Amino acid sequence: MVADQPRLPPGSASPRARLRWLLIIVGVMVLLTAGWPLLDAVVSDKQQLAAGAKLRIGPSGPDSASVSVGPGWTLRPAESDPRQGYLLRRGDISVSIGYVALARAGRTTGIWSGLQRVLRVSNPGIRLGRPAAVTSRQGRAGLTATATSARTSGHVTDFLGPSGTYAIEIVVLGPSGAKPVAAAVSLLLIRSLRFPADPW
Amino acid sequence: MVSFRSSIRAVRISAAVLCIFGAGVVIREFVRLLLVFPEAGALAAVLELPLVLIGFVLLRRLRPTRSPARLWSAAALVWGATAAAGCALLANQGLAGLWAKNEGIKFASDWSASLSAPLNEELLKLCGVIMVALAAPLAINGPLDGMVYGALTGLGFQAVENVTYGLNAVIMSGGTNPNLAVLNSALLRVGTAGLGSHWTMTAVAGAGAGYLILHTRRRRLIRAASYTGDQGRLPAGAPAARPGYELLLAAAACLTAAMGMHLLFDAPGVVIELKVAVNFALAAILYLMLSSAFLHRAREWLAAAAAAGLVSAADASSVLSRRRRRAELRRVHLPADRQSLRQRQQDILAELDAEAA
Repeated sequence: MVADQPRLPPGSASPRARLRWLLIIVGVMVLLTAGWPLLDAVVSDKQQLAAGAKLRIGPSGPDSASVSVGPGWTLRPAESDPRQGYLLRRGDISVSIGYVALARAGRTTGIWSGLQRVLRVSNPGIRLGRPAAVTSRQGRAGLTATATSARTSGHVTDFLGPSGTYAIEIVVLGPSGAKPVAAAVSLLLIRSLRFPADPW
Repeated sequence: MVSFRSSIRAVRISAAVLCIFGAGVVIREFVRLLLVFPEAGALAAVLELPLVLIGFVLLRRLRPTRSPARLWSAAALVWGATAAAGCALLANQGLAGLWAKNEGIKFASDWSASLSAPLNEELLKLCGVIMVALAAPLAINGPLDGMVYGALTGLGFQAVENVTYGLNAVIMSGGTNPNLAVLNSALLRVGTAGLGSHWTMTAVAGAGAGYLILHTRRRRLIRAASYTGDQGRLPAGAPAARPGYELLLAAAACLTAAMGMHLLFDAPGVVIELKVAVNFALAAILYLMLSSAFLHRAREWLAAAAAAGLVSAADASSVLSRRRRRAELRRVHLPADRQSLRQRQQDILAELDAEAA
């Protein structure tokens, strides 16, 4: 309930002026909240990557890694950040390569349990298979497992960085029928993964 | 014909709808994360409670003579935490996407936050200060009131943003130690950056809203005076022919300064301690200037009112200070007399607020 009109300061807004200001405020809010996302939606979120393009991920030289992609891949710029991760696509296959800054120096198994929970946030209903040991071309040990949900299947892999303070997580997902393709893509990315100053 | 009552109701309902919408956006964005990491979500919220409670009390005390109404202070805080925070999530995602697509992901990684947030967030938070002025016409009489309501709006925004940063930290640390990730994020956002974050930026922008309100009031008075030929109601020093564009310039300068502070705060390559120091200093300097000018005008008005016999000498000497007002009240023993004195103090302060602003 609004009380009877109080004694207003001289020059206070009239009811019509108040409604005019209200429209301006709502207009500004709508313009910003809907305007930018609409503009963003009409601009294509695809950037073609050259075959063999090298993507560096991580905040700095020692705390980083790189992967190389084959032909036909596109990068999603709006969902990619060289410091935090990339989202790539080729046909029905999507690849997310993420940099994980560990709150304290970790082990691959500890990272794996965290990864399982994080995947449930971005892909509810996804189930991971039993993790198996995997080795990068540089000889770094990691874990990999199949990932399946009602509509998608793929592979999830993580590697602990040489400093032990960060990890690289690679998630390859596609439609259920594209399981062999996802497995091949995952293997190629694992092989191309490079850590700087790798002691091995 | 729109009545005063229906226009106020329209503003309040719109504000409530926008707050519900903003809260809905924030919840939708983080609900899955909260379901998977409930303990981290609870910790992130609990860690912000002291900031909100202490900030709310301290920022309301910033207003000299008396604190702003609790209801509208809470409304400003809620706007910042819901309407502004939720809409900013969508607006920032949209603009950040445009930066990444048009300028490249490297540029976006460095600059997207510092080029998107100042524009979107400062405007969305400022809308809350103006909404308070529209919903409660007596709440904001000038830049100092705007500054306090702006600081409260910024505080609400800051608290929710801190929670979202804490939750994002859980993801960025791969869910390996959710509680530690939230704790580290809160220590950085509250402990290190808290003194120079959103509350300072929106305080400065809010002062601009106060100047804007003064400008529009002056313009209306001049327009009314030109119709009626009554120049007596014009504010002292207001040129009859012009509506006083210096106030509009001051409003624009405050908003620009707030955006500049935000840009600095998000800019890469500057140490956080320097950013915090600059933002805190700018807000503090503006506050000291505005509050000392307000108190100077208040004392002048009280002296004139006392000389004209409108206010007693005892009231004039005590009414500006919270402590002295309380001391005066303690001296009165009869509850009815104490209530009468309290009412008189509040009446003088209400008059003084409008005049000194």
